Amino acid sequence: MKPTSRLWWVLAVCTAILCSSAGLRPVTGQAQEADPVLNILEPGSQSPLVGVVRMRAEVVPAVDVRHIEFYVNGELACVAPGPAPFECVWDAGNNPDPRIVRVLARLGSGGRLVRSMRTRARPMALFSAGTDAILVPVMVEDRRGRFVENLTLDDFEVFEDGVRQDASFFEASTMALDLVLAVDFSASMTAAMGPLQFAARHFIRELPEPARLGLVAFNDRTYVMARQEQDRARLTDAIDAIPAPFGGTALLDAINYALDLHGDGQAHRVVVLFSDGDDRHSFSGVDAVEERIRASEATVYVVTMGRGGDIERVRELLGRLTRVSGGRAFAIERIDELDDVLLHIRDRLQNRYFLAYQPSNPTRDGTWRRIEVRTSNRRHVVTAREGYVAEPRF
Amino acid sequence: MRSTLCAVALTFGAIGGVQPSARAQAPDNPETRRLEPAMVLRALSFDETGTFVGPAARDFWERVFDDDRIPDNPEREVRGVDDRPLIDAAYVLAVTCDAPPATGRERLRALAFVQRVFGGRAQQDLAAALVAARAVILYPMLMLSVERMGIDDARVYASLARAAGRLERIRQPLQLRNALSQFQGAVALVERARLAGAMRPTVAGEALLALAEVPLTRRGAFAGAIGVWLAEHLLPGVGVRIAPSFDSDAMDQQLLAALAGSADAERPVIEWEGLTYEFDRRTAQFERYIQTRDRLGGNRLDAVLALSEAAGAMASGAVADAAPLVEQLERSVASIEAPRVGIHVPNTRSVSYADALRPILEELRRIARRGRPRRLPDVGERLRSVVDVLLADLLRTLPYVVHVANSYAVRLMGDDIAARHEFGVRIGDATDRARAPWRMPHGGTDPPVPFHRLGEFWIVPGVEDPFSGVWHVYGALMSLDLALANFHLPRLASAIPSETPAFVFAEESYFAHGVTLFNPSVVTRGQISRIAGAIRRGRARVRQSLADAASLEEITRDAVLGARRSNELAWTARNSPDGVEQFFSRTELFWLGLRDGENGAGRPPAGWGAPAVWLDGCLCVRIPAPDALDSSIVPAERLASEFADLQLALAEAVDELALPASIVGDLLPLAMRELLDSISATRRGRVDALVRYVNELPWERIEDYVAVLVGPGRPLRPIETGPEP
Repeated sequence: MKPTSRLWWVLAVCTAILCSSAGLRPVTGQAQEADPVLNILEPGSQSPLVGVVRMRAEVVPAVDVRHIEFYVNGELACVAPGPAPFECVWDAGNNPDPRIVRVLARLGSGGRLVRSMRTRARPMALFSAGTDAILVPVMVEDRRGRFVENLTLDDFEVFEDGVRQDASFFEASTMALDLVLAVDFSASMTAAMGPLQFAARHFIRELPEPARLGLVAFNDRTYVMARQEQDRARLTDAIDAIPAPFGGTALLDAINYALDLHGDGQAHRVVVLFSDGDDRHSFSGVDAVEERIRASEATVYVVTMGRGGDIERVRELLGRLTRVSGGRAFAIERIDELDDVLLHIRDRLQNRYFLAYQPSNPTRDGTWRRIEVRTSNRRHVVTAREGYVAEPRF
Repeated sequence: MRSTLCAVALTFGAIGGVQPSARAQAPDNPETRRLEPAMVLRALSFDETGTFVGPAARDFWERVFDDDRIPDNPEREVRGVDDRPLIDAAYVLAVTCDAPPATGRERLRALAFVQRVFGGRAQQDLAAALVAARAVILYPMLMLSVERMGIDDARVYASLARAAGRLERIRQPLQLRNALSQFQGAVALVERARLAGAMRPTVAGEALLALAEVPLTRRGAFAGAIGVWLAEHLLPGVGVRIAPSFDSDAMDQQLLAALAGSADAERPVIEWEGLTYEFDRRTAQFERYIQTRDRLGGNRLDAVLALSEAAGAMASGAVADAAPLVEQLERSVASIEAPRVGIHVPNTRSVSYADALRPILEELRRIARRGRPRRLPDVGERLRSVVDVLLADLLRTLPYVVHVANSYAVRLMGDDIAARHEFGVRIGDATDRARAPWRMPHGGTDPPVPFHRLGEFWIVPGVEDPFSGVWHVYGALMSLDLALANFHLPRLASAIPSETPAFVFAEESYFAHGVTLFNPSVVTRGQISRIAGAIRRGRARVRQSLADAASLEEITRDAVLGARRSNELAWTARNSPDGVEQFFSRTELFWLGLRDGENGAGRPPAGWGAPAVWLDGCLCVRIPAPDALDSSIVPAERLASEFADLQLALAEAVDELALPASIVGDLLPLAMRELLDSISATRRGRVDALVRYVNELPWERIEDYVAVLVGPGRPLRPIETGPEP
């Protein structure tokens, strides 16, 4: 036996012994295909999860993967559809804590692969600058209800608790839209569901870019159908997936829930809710929801149909809740009017000015600060949020 | 006569439940539904001669049911009780089935309660049993909560019943609301401390005996005495260091930490999907409590006790110099908020604490200036009435803090949810008013919360608020988790029902009771292993039974299958033998295995199973007998009460995955939520739908539930294993 072949023989024997002691079988004959492995490519384990982040994963060797789900601390963050590359975007907010990212690949064969990792904490030194600025989306109409365009910063005056503030201007095109659409699928919606889904799909397609979109379907319970979604096709799929109508209506709970789905980053936060009934099932009280709206910085639009718009008490209540946010309540009589109203809301969103200011009163004492926005033209009708809560910062 | 009909119904095999057609006309509220004789007999124990186990003298039970007063001298009341005749099933059915539904349920609850608590020592404690039996009819949640605490000292039941009777005599609604908030809030805190393992039963029993002795003034006020009870009994009992202060919340936090769980609880380290975690339920619970406490707001224990201490010192006449008190009370103005009551009414404000205190402070300053300390006790008494309102607010809030499942639930219900708690003190009918505060707590919107004027503090709104129909809890503060049970079932974001779910909110609460009544702090690894072992043995028996007809017959007998299921099993074994294992529910497999192992004498582990509250009132869970649900369609509360499969399946999975036993308490809410979302309305009330769901629940889904338990307020706490880069 040649020395080299003896060496190969010794190696083969050693390999067999090692493999058998490790509980593995040496591969003989035709090469077996390696088991697919799921790798998390982003975020990295050494980086903190802050702001809008990209989530990325791969399965090697490549197999049929339906989609990959990314969970952060147990909550679904985003879904990357197949085929590869598998990536999606998620707003991680300002939470400085380390988090557990769990990635789940659904295989075409029916199985799944799972992988988890822990991100690092964000150094506290990064946790400060620029978070005090108050963003005020403003809409200006003339007396005939036409949007007034081409105003400049000099045309605006911003007051907080009666004190004039030094405001700056944001280009509307640079301000991302963070919109949550909440739709009623209570039993009474059975006949209206088709037209509602049509109008909702149309609305979603027509919204300005860039936008992160969420979808809540509610009856006397609330279901999150999509959150922080950038892919409009996926959102329209979610609209199609709204279950067949059943149950009662919990409108206030739905507003409360929808407000939770906004991301933390700077954006124009909006809730658009459609319902056909007055609220008989909410746990939330009106005051609690109004407080939430005040604290949320979101603009809330509500569209009601039938009973919801007919009852004076409900109209008054919805007017109050939407007005404080700088939004508006609409009442329609027939479902086929919904498409027009939603497009009108789209127009209102598109024709916004974004003012920002550092409050001259820097105290964060949890009190309500009244905001008033005026233009130099007294005939303009200005719509803006009525104020904000100066939440204490810890 | 009706009892005879009940017995006939039993004889002819209607044990499984009423016929579907009859049920379709039955009202939804189980309290108003006529009792099923089979259920009544199942809830109670009879010996081999058919005699009721426990105090069985018919004379005794007639004395229990013939009067509804708590006797001052129960020994005299049971003197001369005839030993014979003894009660049997026929008597039980007569007093329960023959009575109107609500009365029948009350009596069943009393029979079952006395049997559970006094069953083994009837003769020497007959007087105590009589008091407890009447008390569980009059003050059900008080008695049942004490039983839930695992207290078996008969004196505790009797003393608390008498104390409840004293509260009942308070006529002024606001005074009654204040007194109930303090008394029931105090019991609720002891209850929570016991369930969390932070207080031993004897210590809890002594604290409750002391609470029962706290005196009421002639006007029906505790006048700050509950503050003294807190400082002398509850807080030392859970290890809180007494240091009242207007500037700190240390005691408040220590109390919440104690209520979150025992400091001695194990914190095992587990490996999960490649990462290392410490399993720490107590810290997770504490984090949730703190978050909820902040959201619900209100005064902290430290400040209220500091004020209580100051009032007590003044009232006792032990203080010679008023000047330091002035300074102390002035400091309190900065830290004490006005308590909240009712729902917030726009444009209606409570009188602030500072305004309420102003006349007292002015009086104190005068005393200090003129050096007349003789008048200090009078001022102290006035301050005590303020303390009473603050204590009522505090003790109404703390049970909500520990029973509201999460911060989202607070957000949904509103941060004044504790203030909206309604005892029913304004109910017109005197009997109903007396009973309402002690009934099982439940949520609803109607009737709306009445607005109260609390002493000098509150302005009654002049107009009725149109939104006063907001959701709130009625009934007792004890075992508040029952009213808030639905909020303990979080929905995973990815889980959306594809069809109309079978159960409405109220029906879901019956299942949710099984989640809140399951106490993870008392379950053990040994129990998990026993359950998993029994299910495994049960499966093995089922597989072996296919070999011969005799074995099949044996498991048919051991699983107590009814005629219909026996036929179905025989058919399945013949035509689809692979499906035989899936044919059985987890509960049936468990019983088959239990009877096969442990020398055939194994008893199911305590603390596991389905909620018994809608069967016999017990605030506990127990594994139902295998034949409990043989009928195919039953009302939702009965279904929930006899369905333990999900819990058993989780125990099996936790055993297999080598996870800590108490993690079942964290997995169960997630699994129950998905089960309720997954059973479609077309399968409403069907036992087999639930059994099939659990049998088909994939292992991977349970792994998903485990993976959800990470992050703040959750029990899996990541441990950094590698070096920091």
